[in-house]
Amino acid sequence: MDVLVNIPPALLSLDAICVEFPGVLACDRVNLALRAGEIHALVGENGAGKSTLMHCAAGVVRPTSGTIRVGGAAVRFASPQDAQAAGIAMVFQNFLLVERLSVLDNVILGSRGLPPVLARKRLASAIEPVCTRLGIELDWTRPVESLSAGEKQKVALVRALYREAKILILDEPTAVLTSDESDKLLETMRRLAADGVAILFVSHKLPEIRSVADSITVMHRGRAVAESMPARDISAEEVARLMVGLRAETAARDKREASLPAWSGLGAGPAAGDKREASLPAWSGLGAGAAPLLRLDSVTLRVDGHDRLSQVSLSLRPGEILGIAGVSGNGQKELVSVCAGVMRPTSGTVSVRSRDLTRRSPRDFFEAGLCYVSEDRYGEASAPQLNLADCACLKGYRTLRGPLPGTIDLAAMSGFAERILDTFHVRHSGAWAPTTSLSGGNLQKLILGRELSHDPAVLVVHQPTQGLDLASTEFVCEEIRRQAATGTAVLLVSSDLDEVLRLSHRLLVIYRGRFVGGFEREQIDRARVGALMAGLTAGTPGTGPDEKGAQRSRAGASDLPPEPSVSPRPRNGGAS
Amino acid sequence: MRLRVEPRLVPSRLVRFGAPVTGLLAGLLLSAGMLELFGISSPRALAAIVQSGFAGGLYAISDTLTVATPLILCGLACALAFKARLWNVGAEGQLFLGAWAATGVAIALLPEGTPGWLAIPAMAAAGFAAGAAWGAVPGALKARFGTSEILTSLMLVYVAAHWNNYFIYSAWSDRGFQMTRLFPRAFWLPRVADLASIWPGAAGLTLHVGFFLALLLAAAFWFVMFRTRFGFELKVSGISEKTAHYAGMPVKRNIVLVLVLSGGLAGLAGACEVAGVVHRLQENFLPGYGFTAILVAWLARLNPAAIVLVSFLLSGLLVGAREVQPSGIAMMLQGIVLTCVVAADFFSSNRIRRVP
Amino acid sequence: MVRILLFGLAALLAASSLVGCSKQDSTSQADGDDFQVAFVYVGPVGDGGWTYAHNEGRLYLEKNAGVKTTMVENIAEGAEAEQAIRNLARKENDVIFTTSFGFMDPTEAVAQEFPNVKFIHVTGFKKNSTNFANLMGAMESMRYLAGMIAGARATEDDSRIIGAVEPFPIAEVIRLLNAFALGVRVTCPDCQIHIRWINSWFDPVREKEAAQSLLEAGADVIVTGCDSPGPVVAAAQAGKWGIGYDSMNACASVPERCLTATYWNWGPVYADMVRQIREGTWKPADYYFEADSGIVALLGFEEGQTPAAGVPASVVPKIKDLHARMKKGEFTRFDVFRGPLRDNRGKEILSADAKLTQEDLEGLSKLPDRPDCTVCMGWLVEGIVGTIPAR
Repeated sequence: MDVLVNIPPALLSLDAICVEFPGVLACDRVNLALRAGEIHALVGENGAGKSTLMHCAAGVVRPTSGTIRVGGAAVRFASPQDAQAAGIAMVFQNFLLVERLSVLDNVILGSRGLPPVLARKRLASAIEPVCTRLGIELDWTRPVESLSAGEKQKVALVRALYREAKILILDEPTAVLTSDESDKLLETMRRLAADGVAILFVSHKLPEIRSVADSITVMHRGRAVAESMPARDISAEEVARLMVGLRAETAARDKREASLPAWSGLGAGPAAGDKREASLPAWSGLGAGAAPLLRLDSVTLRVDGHDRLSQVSLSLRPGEILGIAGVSGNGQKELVSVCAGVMRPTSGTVSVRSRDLTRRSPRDFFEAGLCYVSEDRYGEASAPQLNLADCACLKGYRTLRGPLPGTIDLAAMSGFAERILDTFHVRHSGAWAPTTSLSGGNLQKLILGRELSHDPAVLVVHQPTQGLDLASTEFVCEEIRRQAATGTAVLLVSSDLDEVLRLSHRLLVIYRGRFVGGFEREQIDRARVGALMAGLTAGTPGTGPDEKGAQRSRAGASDLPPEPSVSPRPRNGGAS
Repeated sequence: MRLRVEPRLVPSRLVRFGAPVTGLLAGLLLSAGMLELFGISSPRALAAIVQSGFAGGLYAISDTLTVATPLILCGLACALAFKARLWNVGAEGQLFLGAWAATGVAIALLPEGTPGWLAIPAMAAAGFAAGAAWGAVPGALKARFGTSEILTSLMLVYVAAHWNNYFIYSAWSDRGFQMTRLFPRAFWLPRVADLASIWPGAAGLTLHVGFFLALLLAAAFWFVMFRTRFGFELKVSGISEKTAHYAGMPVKRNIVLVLVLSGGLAGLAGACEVAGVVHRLQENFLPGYGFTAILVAWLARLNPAAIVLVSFLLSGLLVGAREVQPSGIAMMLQGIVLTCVVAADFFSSNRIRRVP
Repeated sequence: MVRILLFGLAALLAASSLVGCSKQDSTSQADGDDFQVAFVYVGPVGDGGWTYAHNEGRLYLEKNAGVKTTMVENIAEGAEAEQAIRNLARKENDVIFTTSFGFMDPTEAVAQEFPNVKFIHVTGFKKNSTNFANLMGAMESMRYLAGMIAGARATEDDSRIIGAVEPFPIAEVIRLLNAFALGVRVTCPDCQIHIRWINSWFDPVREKEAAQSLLEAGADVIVTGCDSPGPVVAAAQAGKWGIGYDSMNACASVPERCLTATYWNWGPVYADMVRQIREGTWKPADYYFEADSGIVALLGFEEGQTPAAGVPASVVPKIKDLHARMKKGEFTRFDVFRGPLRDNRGKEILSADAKLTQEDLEGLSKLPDRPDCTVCMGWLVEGIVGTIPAR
């Protein structure tokens, strides 16, 4: 504890924060301290509780218990406005800007104490010096809708600063930025910190964390498994291990190790996962010599000038479950969409059962024997106003022919639906009830059941158990496994690492739209996977040895390769 | 204590039907108040509206159903597009073009002596085809370039109006007058009044067989929507285009097809108006049925049976309101009643709760 | 088959009218022996133009002929028109005036059903032998005078260009335009009349735009054949002169810059028609009233009026004199269109001293019991710059 005594008191401290949502403990006694001029990274897998914690600090969510202190005094935020008044501003992932308004109007929007008549030129010139200092250039009159994501980010930052925020909370600020834009943002963050602003930011990208963060808090399943640890005291690999739920080997060095929660106590933790893994029969190898059922060759997908997927190749053999691990938002959605024909690749080829279907419609993919369970249960795989029969027959309606050409046999439709509902034990109140009457788990069973009822040769599943209770999760996993056993090739994409590890015969790690690593089942190393997911990858193209050197000196972790997108410039480097 | 608006998850049957009725009553009450304000006896005025719109015997009903015919057809046209969440607001233009094409067939294409059984279906088909072509333009633009069909279909209304004017005043002008020549008698849609020789009471009943066609198409609409694969695809597309695409439905083809059919229905309405009512093409013979139909489709919640009912009630209001003069007051009454009904509609899908 | 369908419809009507309950009673009219006259208008009375002028006529009738009148306004020329006219006939009106060209067919149809009601259609050309007539007035005479004023004004201002905003290229409009141009050439033989077709009877925005385009082309006087005061206002705003149309208050918004207006004064002929009908002397015919009936008028030159300040003093006596002769029936529409006439392509239309027929003026042909036109109104006289859009 003597270490802490020398450090100035925290500007913002979160003490023993608990947030309980119905059925979920999103944050469990989390502590976090943020000092003036500090950049603090909050790290964790999807659903680890990072967002909830941030929302507490920004007044969006009220903690169930625990104390928030600003400048040492306990505060209670009833609304984001209260937090704002206390000098805390949050920049959301989607920025929350009014697209039609100009940059300036967005910046001043909602500020208190504006004169009734807006002298826009004067207002702009008042903000200008701040921007100049931070190296931000903005055209005040442009409508926000015409800006790139990076520019919008800047507008959101300036807006926060215009409200005189001393504490800035950034939710995955680089998630939607190109690497150039990310570099610039990190630079801006450094300058802000030099000005004395405290920054708390969420990220999955370890290289950028290494490059800017002074301290790090790692969360896993609602708990802080490393609390406000000085960045120099923890290696990126350790962070990656902690993130994916492995005990930090070197964390023993840290004096606060005692405060780490007891891992083994987590019921659905890796221990349980290990047990499952043991029960999974190895890939039967029944199609070893057979042609792959699904094949992607150098697929690149470009959306709005950004490569969402670049040069992705994979091939899926009969009876095999191929898992794709990765932090969500790294191209998974695009990958499954391309595999199922929902999106067309910019280049490369997609073939199902040796038939090139690259520019064909989802129906052709379906007819070739590919079934796809989308992650988006309410917007894609089903829709709220559909009834259960509609949902069940969403893909098979063409075969339920009525007596006249073009008609649907309604009785056959409800019969088909009933069969799925029964086979997959969906608890329901009739085939004509709306899908909204089903719980998430039951809807997922129905969707999975629908896809499996078409006896797929290839099954693409994305986040199949997200938001499901334990029993439903079990059921879904068992069905996927059983389907694979019949010779179906399964592509399982999930940001839940445990799930991927439990089910896959083979595993690929996706990061920024590329496969950065591959493992056969017996080679899988959880720590290694975690590191790859977080972008710690050797041999990423474009990495030069000189950049590596610069990176190391800053990161203090000699064994980690740098992330190419991160600026090699030293911290607080001179203004350009 | 505060009030909060929240959506009703499953609106009860009572609310669904009760709300518009309550709205109607509230609208009538408000209208009565306004009438009194203008120094008009409200009971007498309202009675006159009901009298000549609905309850004034055969004539009133005939007049109302005659006006309802294009409203039903255009209402179906709008409902079909709205079902698929395509905002075809250009039924008016498709109506114009349908009237134009039917006229073209009648006066420029077919020889004078063509028998009615051949000419009338040909005119109807031409009306449908022209409306469909006019609907296909926004459809193709939407499917190909993602252009907003609201703008394109609306703009095409004005193009259609000028297109028609060119033919009315110039190409097909009758002796330089602002109308085409009269269609040959055999090309007129049969009217109830045609029975006057057998049943004198039929004289002056202008209801034509177009009304039958409208009812038939309302039934067909129901069948297509609820019993066919195409209808199923539209339902899914209307709820979530993403889901439809995911399910392998031909979303883009359906966009074009829906707007083609929607335009065709409106075009048919135009053909019925020229063949059944005016018997020639002339300027401003349509009081905006294509736009009123948008309202009809909404109030009827896109249900074909309700479209027939709403069209009937609205036409009755339109016809009956002529009894209140000057017309400004009648238009105000229509406005008040419709606003109240639409406002009441809000409460059938939302409710207001007190929150402490 | 069709018959079965129709009977189905009829049965449906009968059924719904029974459900719709209530016997029809038309006791809304208090006493049956009153003579009732009804009017059907295409626009609202408040349009300040065409319909307004008709409504003034109705009020005149009510005041001077001692009859009860009713009106329905804003009636579209389609299904609604026939219904509205039939409803008025069923309400025991004795005379029904329908005041838009598009009401012609519906009026004819209803007239056939109600032989005891008299129908008078304004601006059309159809009639029957018992109870259906058409009625129009010689506005061209007044337009001729207005042209003379415009020509004099342009001469005074040392300009040679006069602009005309015109609705549609139909015979009625062309006739008035030609008459105006002939008038202009009386006082300003080398003046040219530029025209803009706007293809609408009433479109304030386009009317104004057309006027502005004419002003940019150098027009000194703007005359309009459309229904809004827009062109007159546009001329005034540009410091030029305007000539209005339709109703007496066409000049009301800019009196100081408005030379005159040619307007309709329907009251006297309405009263005359009603008188004849009540006396039983009325016969259905093609009624075309000359200036001597008082149906048309020239603002500033009628009884009790004084010419606007903008009218050059030199021309006032001339106008007054000709106006007086017109009112006495000494100078008629046939004198306006008296030969020699050339069209604006130099072709001779009418040789010296030849006259047009009524059918020529209205461009009528193929009508029973009327001769076909020979020099049908479909040309523009010398001095007009522009064409009639191709047929």
